[in-house]
Amino acid sequence: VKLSSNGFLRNLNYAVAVVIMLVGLYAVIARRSPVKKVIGLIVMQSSVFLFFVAMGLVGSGGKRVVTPGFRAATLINPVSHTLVLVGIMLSAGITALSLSLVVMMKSRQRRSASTEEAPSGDEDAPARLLHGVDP
Amino acid sequence: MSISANHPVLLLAVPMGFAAICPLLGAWRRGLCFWWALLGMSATAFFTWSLVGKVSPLAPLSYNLGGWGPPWGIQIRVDVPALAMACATTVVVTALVVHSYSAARSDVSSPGRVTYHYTLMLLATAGIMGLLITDDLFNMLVMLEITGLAACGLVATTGAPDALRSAFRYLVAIAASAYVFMLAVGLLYSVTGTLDMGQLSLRIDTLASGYVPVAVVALALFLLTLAVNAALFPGSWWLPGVAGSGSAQSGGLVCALVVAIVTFGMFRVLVVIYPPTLTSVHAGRAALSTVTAWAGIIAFVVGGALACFQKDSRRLFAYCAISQVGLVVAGIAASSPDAVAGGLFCAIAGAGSVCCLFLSAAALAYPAEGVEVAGMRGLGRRRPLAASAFVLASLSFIGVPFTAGFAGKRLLLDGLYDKGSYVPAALVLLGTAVAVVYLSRVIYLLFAKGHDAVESEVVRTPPSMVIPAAALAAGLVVLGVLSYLVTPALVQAARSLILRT
Repeated sequence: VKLSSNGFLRNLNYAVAVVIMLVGLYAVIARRSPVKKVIGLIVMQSSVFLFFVAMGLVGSGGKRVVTPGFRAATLINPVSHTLVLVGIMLSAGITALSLSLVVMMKSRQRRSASTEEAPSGDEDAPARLLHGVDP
Repeated sequence: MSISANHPVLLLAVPMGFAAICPLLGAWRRGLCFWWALLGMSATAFFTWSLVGKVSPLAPLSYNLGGWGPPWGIQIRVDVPALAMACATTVVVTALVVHSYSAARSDVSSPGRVTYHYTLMLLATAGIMGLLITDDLFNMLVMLEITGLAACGLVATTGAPDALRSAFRYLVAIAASAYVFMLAVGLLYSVTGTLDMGQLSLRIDTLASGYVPVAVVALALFLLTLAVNAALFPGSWWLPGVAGSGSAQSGGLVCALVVAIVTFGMFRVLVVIYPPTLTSVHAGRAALSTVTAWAGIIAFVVGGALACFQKDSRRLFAYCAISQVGLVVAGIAASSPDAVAGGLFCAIAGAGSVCCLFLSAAALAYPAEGVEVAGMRGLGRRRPLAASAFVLASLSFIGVPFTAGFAGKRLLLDGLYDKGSYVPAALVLLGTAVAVVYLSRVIYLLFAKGHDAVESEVVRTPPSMVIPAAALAAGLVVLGVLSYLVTPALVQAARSLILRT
């Protein structure tokens, strides 16, 4: 985005990130399906990353490569990108755990629907599902 | 490199290292997991408790990770409040680990669960320790998530459909609030250019007036997300399900420890990053802390009132925890040294007593997993030791003299009274009266006559379930009697943080 002196345009990146986050939050709250909730979470996480990347842009923002005669004030802030990197790991963990919970919930539902019985003795299904082995 | 030079970081590194090796050990010999977790917790407890006396209220221990100092690197800082909470954490988690010994052994139908259980227990401990001692805001978020995800997994390990559903609800709550928290960190970083808590506080104070609203919005988002994570009343929709459907250990961990530790995060935000002495954000901070304090008081009373209507014992304890969180948050948001120290002491005492309620109720109900409140009739007559632990935990929760709860509540009430907040102080007393109502109903049922017919078929409760509950109850009394050793240091630390002396 070409930065202008106009205050609204200067903050456009941030405003867009917040709007995307609200879209994700809406999905998390309003959708009943667990999978759609997870999708909402992923939208939220992407919006935060956008926010951090936009934040790192300083002035016209050159790449963070140290060349003779560079001025630190004109370079992209690397810390915000590092934080995005950590955030990606964090959200990978969250997404993985939430999807595995969804899979376990679905398999329980299917089993109880097919047998119509009290829970069977097969209690280590979650363990096997976590390893990706279909029970 | 000697151990003493790296001592502060060991509080975090030891449980995390043990957690990393636990699954490998479990794949080889499943039975070793329990002993490995116990060893890990003993080592963590040793390193934590050996710091007692080395940390003074005015001179916290700090440690630069990788040798990088605050403006760029992550600093670990062990101050008196963090150390007190860390000591309580090691005791509570050790009790939870010992308590699960017989459950893990008898659980032959689901051998895979045991490894997960202990790994996640150690991982949650690592996250809690990290959250307590980190001095970096982004690091705090990461530790918050490690704790939350581990606790979530721990709830789901029972594999019951109910537990899976509540774990998912919990996960969605903490994940959504984590992203909002991260946005708030971004907002604050964009105007201050640092993540270190001490530096943040200095730079917020010198913000140009155009950027002050950003810092205030960030504070509002921090408080909002931490309120959801700590199950402060309207944000507590996920907690009763988690307590009611998981195992006793996961319920104890989440309701007693995780929520108490998140309120400590609120202390970090409200007292360390945004102390009341800041002039730039003074008006916004005052408004937000007032709202938070009232939310806490209301949560304390409403949580207690809702607890009166619970049929399931573990949901009742969850509402105890919700009410306790309200009290702690009210103390921290009141932001006077006595109230903050009282709030932190209440958090420690509350963690011990809620965990003891969970563990002693599980020992009373054994071999059943959970129990209705009405089903507890007469159980105390059969198992007097577990029942007396339950009674002591209830007394401490209510705040009877010579228990830990009394010392915390007295300090908190002192703080509120000195500030002239008479209505909140009166509401704290009202909430305490409500706690007397719902806990005395359970205690009455425990010792009421009934169930004489089944006396002969009583299964003996394994000692590994009774001893941790009894030890926690004894610890609550010891902490109550010896509270004069802890509270002055807490008050002094809170005063130096609030007044910036």
